[in-house]
Amino acid sequence: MASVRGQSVKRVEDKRFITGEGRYVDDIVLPKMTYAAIVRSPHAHAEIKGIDSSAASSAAGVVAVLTGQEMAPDLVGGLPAGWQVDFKNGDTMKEPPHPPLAVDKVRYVGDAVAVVIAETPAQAVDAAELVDVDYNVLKAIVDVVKAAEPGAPQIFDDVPNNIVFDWGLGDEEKTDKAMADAHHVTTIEFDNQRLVCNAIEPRCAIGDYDGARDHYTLYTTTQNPHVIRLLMCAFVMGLPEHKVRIVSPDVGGGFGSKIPHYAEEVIVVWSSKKVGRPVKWTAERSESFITDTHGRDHHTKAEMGFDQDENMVGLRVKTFASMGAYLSTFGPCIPTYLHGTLMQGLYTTPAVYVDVTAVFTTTTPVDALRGAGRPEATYLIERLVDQAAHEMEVDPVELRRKNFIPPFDGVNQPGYETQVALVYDSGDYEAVLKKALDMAGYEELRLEQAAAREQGRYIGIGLSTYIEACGIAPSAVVGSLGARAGLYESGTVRVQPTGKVTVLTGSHSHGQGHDTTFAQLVSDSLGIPMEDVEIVHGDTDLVPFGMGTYGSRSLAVGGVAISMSLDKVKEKGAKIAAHLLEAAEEDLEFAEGSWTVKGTDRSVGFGDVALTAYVPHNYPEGLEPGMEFTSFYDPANFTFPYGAHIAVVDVDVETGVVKLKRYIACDDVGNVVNPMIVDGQVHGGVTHGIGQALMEGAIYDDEGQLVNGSYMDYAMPRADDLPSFETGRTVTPCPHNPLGAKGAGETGTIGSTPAVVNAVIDALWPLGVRHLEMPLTPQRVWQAIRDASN
Amino acid sequence: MHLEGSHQLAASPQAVWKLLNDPDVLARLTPGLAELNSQEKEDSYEAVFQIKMGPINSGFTGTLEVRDKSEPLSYRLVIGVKGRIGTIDAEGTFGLRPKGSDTDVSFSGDARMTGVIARMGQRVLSGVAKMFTNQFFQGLERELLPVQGAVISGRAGFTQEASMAIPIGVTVNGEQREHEVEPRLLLVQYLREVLTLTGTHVGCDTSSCGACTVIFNGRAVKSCTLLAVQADGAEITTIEGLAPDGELHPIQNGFHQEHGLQCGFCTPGMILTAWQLLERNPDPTDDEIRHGIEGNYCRCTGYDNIVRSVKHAANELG
Repeated sequence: MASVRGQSVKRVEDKRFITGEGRYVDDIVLPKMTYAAIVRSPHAHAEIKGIDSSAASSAAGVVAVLTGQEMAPDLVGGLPAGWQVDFKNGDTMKEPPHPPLAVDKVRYVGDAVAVVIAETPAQAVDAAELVDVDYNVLKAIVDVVKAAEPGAPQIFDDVPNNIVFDWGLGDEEKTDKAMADAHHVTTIEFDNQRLVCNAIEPRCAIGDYDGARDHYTLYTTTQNPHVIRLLMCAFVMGLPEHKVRIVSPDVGGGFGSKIPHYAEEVIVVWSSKKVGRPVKWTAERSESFITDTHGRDHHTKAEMGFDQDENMVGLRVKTFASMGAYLSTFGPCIPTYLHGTLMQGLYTTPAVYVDVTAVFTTTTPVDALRGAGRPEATYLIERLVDQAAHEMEVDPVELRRKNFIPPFDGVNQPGYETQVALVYDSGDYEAVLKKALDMAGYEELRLEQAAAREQGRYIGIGLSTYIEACGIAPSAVVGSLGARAGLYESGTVRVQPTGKVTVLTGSHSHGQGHDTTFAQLVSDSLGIPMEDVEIVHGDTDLVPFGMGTYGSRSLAVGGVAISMSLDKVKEKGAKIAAHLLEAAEEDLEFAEGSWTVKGTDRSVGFGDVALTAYVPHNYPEGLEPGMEFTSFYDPANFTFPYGAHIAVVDVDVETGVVKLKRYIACDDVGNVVNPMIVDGQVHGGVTHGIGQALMEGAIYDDEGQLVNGSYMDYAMPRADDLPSFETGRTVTPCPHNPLGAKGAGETGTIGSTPAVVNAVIDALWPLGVRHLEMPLTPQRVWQAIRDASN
Repeated sequence: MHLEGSHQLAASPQAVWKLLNDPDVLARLTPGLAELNSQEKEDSYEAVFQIKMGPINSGFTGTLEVRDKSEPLSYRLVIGVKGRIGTIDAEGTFGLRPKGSDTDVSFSGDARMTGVIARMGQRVLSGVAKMFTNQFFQGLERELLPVQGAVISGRAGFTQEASMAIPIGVTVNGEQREHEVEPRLLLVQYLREVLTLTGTHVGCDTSSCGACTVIFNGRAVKSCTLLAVQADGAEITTIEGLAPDGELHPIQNGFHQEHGLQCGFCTPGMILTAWQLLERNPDPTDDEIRHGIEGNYCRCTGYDNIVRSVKHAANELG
């Protein structure tokens, strides 16, 4: 049997989705189920003077109307941040309480105020309209820079100037000197605009309290069920974990918005106990827009210094990062440890300093959005490089090459130690750039561009060479940086007596295709067909433990945990096989699902060994029966995927419309188990990044209302906005990861946004356009062309 | 949006005229009208509407005026109301014509909406308008029955509480289904909640994402944009019914072969949209496929493999 590892095996999970048999949370109906509608604040900032729920309580079908006043005594705390980032002076970050149902104040439009539980969804929604909340409206503040200025509306009494923390990384003094001495300094100041994740499946949660067992079940649309159990039990509800089960079945996309522990999860679990029946809440899209965590929302000033030979000598960055109205699970970590630490890029810049101020605003809380921090870092670095190339009139390819970190494999050459606390694992940045340029036909493109300009057509070529960090670990390191949990993963391999295999993984698939990729690992390791493997995830009562799926960690962390258990299975299997074959263990070899005595035809198959483990009539003395292993993998370091992306655009200077003509993505994600799935991840990621560059952006007015909170108003890429993507790969295995894998879920998002914006600036540079704020809508592009010509 | 309807009533024009000029009757019969309070000016009322329609359940307040009276033949009704989610401005003329001892009542008018309510889409709005107009005339007929006549003198400020179940018959995936449904029930809710066909998904409130697409009388439609009552008599195919014999339809197979799905949430709608595309154009170019599926959002795949999947299906279907 040929190994399936590295093959584009068609997905095992497809059948249930293409026949309509997927099982999402909203598809679940429990006996005696009730339905929740949440009364939400229409104001961005207001005091709650009183809540009159009498009319709602007596409306048709209403089971209960519950408020924050009633919930508060039952909780041990509010919704927690999973990460603590302290002030430069050592003071603890500001972490005011975040009650799942607001008690005395609301701090963003959509903040939950009360819950109405009724017999039908329609009755719940109807009655929610009858809940009368008396608000004293206060001033909103949505701009991240203005919010930190003295005199801005104060969102919490004990958070002066709304500043959550300030934070710095790198050598500030050295960087200041390098910038002062630089021959040329390129400066950009811009917004990395707020985005909405917009997984197509709206969030949903069902709480089911079983009084007889004093046991809670929560079905929820999450990327990380064990993390939700940990946070809800330990930080919010004070429940013992063995009494709580979290089920996260098929989930319709996450993109970061389904990582955090949400108010609604607490609300349905708590109110299920209150009413003694299951309680289901399903978000409407307009509710998703204002309550799913948002991403990005940085305001940044960044400067890059060069010597007279165009060598990078310094990078200085100042970022204001919005946290929204409360700290979400990963909120504080994103602008710091997932952003500041990436400032080295692929370059040898000897002096780097990044300064981040995290700020509360009266907006939806901010958390991860595909890439989470690394897209923001890459955007500023890669915009600076292209901008500098234009300013110094050198080719952007040559400027990058000149400053690249030289190749290192992490084995024969050590890892690369950056100015901002990381050690890169392995990389050959020149190789991936060369491959991308070859795929694009870069030289011909430049000739085509020159010829087009002669005819008054404006083609732009934009580059982005990025590095990112995945599978953040080890736990000891992330703990020292403020993580409140470990970042390992568990993997159980349960060999059934028939030789079939059940894998229990703490990773969670919401589109990534784990049923296939993980089964490929098992098939490759044990030499059994993929049909003999079942992957189980998303249920805390089945899976021993897990940290879930985000940060492109499933294969690089979760896959390795499975792989470790597979090794243990083979180790034990060899002992049983040796006994059955009456041979010494060291005389055996394992291949294609059988142990064979070397140099003979005497062999025993995996199935026979498995059966023997469970029917141990003829069995090695002292060996335990059974064949099941659980491993926990805590990586030695992050993994560092990288790549080179090239965008080619055609800008209509009469209308400002940007047409994306070609998109080339050449990535190095280490070893690949299923190229088809990796390409699919790249496609989706690139599309997300193009969306940010050209179309997407959450717009708040001064009153704190999300003005474009619907699919009618918030633009996202549709099929006819995009070209077909050209993907390529180089392979530099990760040296510290037993699978050599680096992670592929976010590279596309990280690489694409600056490539597209660089392409548009490249097209318009001869017209005098020097800067554009994202998204690059026709109106903005047209205005910039017009302003430049005046 | 244009509204019109007519109805023959077994009463004299004078009797009908009396009804049409009785504010209590108007309040009772106008769908969504919760309160009608007289104002100083004659024939001018303060009107409070409570519109329940699909995902919308919201209050609107403003004025209702009767103008251009020509007793007992015609008058014009002018409504202008405003709510948290938008405005409704409507204007229409009632005409009465004797027909033997009966009266023909006709109504013709136009309505303009702004805000969220306007985003419901033309199809839903005109469906609702048709239903509301029919309900109004049926109500008039009930009012004219002798037994009901005594009830007419109700109090002003009548609050409408009644909800009614309407019988529908629909053929879904080849099976005849009959149910009584609330007028506000969306088709997608009927499919998911009543028929438990959960392969059809809800992704938005605004018919923008296409996750709820089903085949309705041979056309791909967004089932969140239709009311279940509008499906009366229709033939519907959902994803569960695309390949009834347990085999994969060539389009389903195309999505499997070309990795045209990741999380699977948009997939049923995408496949059924592709079905219509290939019905109309069996050999589409890449651009035609991209244009054909641009009403469906996918946040996972970047669409490239979906285009390949549809091509694959086109080839298999020949």
